[in-house]
Amino acid sequence: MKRILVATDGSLSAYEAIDMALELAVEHEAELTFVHVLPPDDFITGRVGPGRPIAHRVEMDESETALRAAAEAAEKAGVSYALERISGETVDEIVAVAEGLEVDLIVVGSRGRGPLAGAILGSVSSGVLKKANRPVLIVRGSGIPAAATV
Amino acid sequence: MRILLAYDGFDRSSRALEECAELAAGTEASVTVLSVVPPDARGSKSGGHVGLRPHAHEDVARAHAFLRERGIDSVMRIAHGDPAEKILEAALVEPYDLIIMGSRRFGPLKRALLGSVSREVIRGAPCGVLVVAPELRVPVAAS
Repeated sequence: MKRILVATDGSLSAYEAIDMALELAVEHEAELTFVHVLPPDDFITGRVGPGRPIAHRVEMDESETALRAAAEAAEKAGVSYALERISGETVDEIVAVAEGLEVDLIVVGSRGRGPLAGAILGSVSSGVLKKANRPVLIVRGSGIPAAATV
Repeated sequence: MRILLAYDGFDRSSRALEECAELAAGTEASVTVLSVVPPDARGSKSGGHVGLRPHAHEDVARAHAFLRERGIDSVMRIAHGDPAEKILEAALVEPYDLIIMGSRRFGPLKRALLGSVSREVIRGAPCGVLVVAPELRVPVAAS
């Protein structure tokens, strides 16, 4: 296993996925790529329309936070990594990046920020499971912050 | 969705069973419950699989009943041999969309999130793997 793709949306579930992916990366001396997918780009309409760019900016901040946290975790674990930020349909983009990089494994959290946040499989994890022609690991943790339990 | 649930009757896989039931309930999903008895299994309580044949049967029967009570179509199966090998073998013989398993930590690596069985299954699985890891924690920074 040389290349692992981890999708993150900055949710608790995604951090659990990152944690497990780091462990696998260390074991296999694999390189990690973290990908964050922004919603389809409405940058132009946002620019042109009055008062729209703010929504986009917020998403960019979330994306930045999510990727930076992933990068910090990878650095701490001594794993080499790359960051990708793409705009588009989440599932399609994750699958496309996985194909492009020919990754050996795609790791996703079981649920993210979607409307069915409580469901076992979110739309992203079930979508990736269906569409990817590569091994997929879905991580289902407890979502309990470490500080609350230690 | 066709699901292969690797189940050994211990706490680590009872959560996997619950998650599996929640996922499958109210859908057309069918579940195969597989319990593997490792060759070195003894009836001991100290670690390892309580692998005497009757126990494996009880484990799987319990899981089977749990799923049936919730109206989930399920099949039970018991295999003997190396757990990872048998789980992968089962997944290759019949097509599944998802393998669900707990993340038991065997071996000396206390910090490890994944046990050796789940590692091997992730590496060799012909389909997606859902690892249920109750002990997973997220960094405080994330919350």
